[in-house]
Amino acid sequence: MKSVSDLELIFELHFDKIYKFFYFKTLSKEIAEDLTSETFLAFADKLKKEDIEDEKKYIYGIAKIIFTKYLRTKYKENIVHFEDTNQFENYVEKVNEARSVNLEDVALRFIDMLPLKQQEVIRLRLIEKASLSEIAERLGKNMNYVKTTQKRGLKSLKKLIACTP
Amino acid sequence: MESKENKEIQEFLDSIKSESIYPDSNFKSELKYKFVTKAKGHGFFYSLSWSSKFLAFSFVMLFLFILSFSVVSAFLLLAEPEEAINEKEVFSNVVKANKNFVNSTTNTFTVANTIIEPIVESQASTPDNPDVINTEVPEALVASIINDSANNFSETKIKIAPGPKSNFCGEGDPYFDLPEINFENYNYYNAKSGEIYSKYKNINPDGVVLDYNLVTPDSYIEYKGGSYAIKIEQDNTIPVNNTDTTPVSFPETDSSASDNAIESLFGENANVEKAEIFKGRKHYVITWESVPTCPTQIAQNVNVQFDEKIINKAWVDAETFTMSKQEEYFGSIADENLIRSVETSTNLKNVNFDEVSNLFVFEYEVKIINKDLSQNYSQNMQDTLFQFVKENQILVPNLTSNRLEITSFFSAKVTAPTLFDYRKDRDFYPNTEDGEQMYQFYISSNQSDQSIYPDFAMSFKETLGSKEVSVTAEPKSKSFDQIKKDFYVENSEPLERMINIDGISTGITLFEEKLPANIITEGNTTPTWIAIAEVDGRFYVFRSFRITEIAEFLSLLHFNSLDANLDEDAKVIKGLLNKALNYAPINTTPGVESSNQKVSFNSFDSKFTVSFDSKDSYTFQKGGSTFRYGQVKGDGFTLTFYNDDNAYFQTLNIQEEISTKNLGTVSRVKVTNSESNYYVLNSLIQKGAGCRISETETLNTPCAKVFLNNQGFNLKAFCDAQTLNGINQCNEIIKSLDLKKNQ
Repeated sequence: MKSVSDLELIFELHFDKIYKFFYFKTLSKEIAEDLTSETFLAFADKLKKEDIEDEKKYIYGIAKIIFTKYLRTKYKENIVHFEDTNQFENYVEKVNEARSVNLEDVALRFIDMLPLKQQEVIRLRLIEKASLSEIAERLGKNMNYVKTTQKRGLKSLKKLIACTP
Repeated sequence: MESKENKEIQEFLDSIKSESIYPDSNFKSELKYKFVTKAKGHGFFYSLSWSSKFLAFSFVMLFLFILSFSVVSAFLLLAEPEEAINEKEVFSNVVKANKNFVNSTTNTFTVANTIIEPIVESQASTPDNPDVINTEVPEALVASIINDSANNFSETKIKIAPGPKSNFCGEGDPYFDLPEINFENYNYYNAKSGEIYSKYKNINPDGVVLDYNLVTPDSYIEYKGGSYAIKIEQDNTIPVNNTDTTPVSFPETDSSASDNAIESLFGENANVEKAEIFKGRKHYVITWESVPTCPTQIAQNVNVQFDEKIINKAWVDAETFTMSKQEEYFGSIADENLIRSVETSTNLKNVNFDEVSNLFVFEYEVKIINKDLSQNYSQNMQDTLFQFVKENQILVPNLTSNRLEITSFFSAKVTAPTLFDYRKDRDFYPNTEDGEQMYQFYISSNQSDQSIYPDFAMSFKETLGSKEVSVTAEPKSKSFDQIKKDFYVENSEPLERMINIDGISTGITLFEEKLPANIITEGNTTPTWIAIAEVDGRFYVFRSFRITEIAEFLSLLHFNSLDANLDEDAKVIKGLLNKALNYAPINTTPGVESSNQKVSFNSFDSKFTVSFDSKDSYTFQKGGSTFRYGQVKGDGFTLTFYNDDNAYFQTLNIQEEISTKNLGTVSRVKVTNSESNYYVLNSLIQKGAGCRISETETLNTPCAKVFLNNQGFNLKAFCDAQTLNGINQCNEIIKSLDLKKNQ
């Protein structure tokens, strides 16, 4: 059975990486907190029952399942394909490394991958900071079109950020 | 007043600010507390050893718990349960009741996502990898029963029937436009022995089996309604008390369903409409909306947006909160708008195996053909690749730099005999129109347009670093201009340089890769160099990875072109193929103390030796070469070597004077500091010809990423041409390529 200080050490070691990864993928503190909690509490339950030697592999194994499940339930997607825990751990590492430096830049680059109509509106809104009425005027569309396209665009953008490996 | 749309935009902009990435300190402290107390199995003693802040926190939590308990109790006492429907509570209970089943085919709730998927996938292709059978099939099918401490047997029957609008995505959509399917699944799990019995079958309304799998502790039977079934003998027991395996499942948390979890399951505008009696039991009728997406259109890169939404209607058992029936409508709830309906019945119980054993016997009177798992498919592939380069007279470039070793050799144009070749046999499918369709579907989904592929792709990696060079042999029919286009160097200035090919100084053309704007590259700014050399009327393309300087790249490019028709070269080619197909990289996972050290392991053959120079550094020897890794700081390291079964079989202490020792087949190495178990370096050697995964890359599209890491890079040209919508398609292609490679 691990001691309290052992457990604290394990937590401190993995918490930041796992939380940030979930945040980068969901852009929501609430969801990142939910997923991180789910990961650590599931792991705690396991630790309670048996002494796990290779805790890193195990905790990333749980995080992998939780993240895959999240994508599947939230976006009905199974885009990210990981063959094993090591691969997922590397992926977490890579996402953290890339997005810690300038999250804004990385996130906005996904706009290029949106369908054209959404790209147009989202680019004007997020990068040029244009108002809804300005966009409607520039695109010669009504407000309803701009609002709907913005809604769809933001949704697609979040999905891209979450699901793009 | 701020509009909803402005708020959404502002929230998004706030969420991508750098300062938003940091976790809330209270959340962290709280979770840490919960984690430690839960892991220790109690909270009180732990809280005593903490600061008063956490002691206070414990009291606050206790107070809140008592308060909430009182409120709930009062509510339960005062409320009229028969009349009032607490919507949030219903949703929360449904989420909780179905949480265990999300990834399982026994899922009674996310039917549309988890039941259809395996059916579609099973019709498209089943992974051609014995490992997948060994783990994923039992895991997916029995995960729910393994997690269920009260029951050891589950029986699920699901009927999926299409409605008038089932083809709203277009004819033949694999997700919606399916014929009626009757799905049955039975699982039995013996927690003591780890034995699994699992069976599922899909039957059409005429009673014809479309797909059937039976997993018992010692075998796997696959049957698709044809003239024979296939039996593969293997161990399907889930290791009990094996702490080193990736968890097949994990326990549920105590927390109640969050709004996010509810939204994840129900999407938008969810309502509990009413309570009514359905099939003799009280049910809640729930409706919610979801956005239509069509997998076929996505795969074909067609961007279709519907004005209509999908309206879901479900009957949820008021006692168990499992779903008994679900209907999906296109636009609005009306008979003519029904896309499909799904009826489910689940029976969970605790039984003696004898009571259900008859369910786990193959029940069809067709012959069973046994397949031998022990055949060496890697050798098959090696021989097939050799014959391919020999018969097609394709020279094989062997980079002569002693800094490099070959890590992969792949050709999409080669298919070696595999364990799963029976799936290409028409007789394996029913002798009906459906059977013909299933057969054609399998064949076509496993075929690809080979004209886009190079004749073969090879990768070489630094033995003591991470720099890489990949090479493709382009088809003779491919022009220089086409190659430039495929490798994104059309707009790059060509540089003429000389390298040594077969001992002769020869000209090559060098470019810097210029990726189109729609390709996302994350994190890596190292330029990618592309060198094109013409040898024997064929272009060979070399690509750099993580090499900054042109001069360094050029220094690695010298090569001999080997001809498989010459005895001496044939021997070298066979050696390269053997090495490439058995390449097994190790990913290192630095532990606590070593997190600031980068200890890299490289590939090992199945046999290798290890020696230690001193207590602080160690050397691995492979074949005739010696690679030194170190410096590992600390005293008294222990290296533990594990075999395939995860059982350690050799422990060496670095302090001992050991020169060399043959360690046999090793699949995992663990380095432990004697002072604490946490001070470890932990490594996993991935076995087999296997996909070399990750760690790398300049990264382009996800497809390119996977492909680049595995085999080469020419598929990139194909994948990059796609927008995001092409990702699924690319992944499918890559999956099939991976499988081919893994055979």
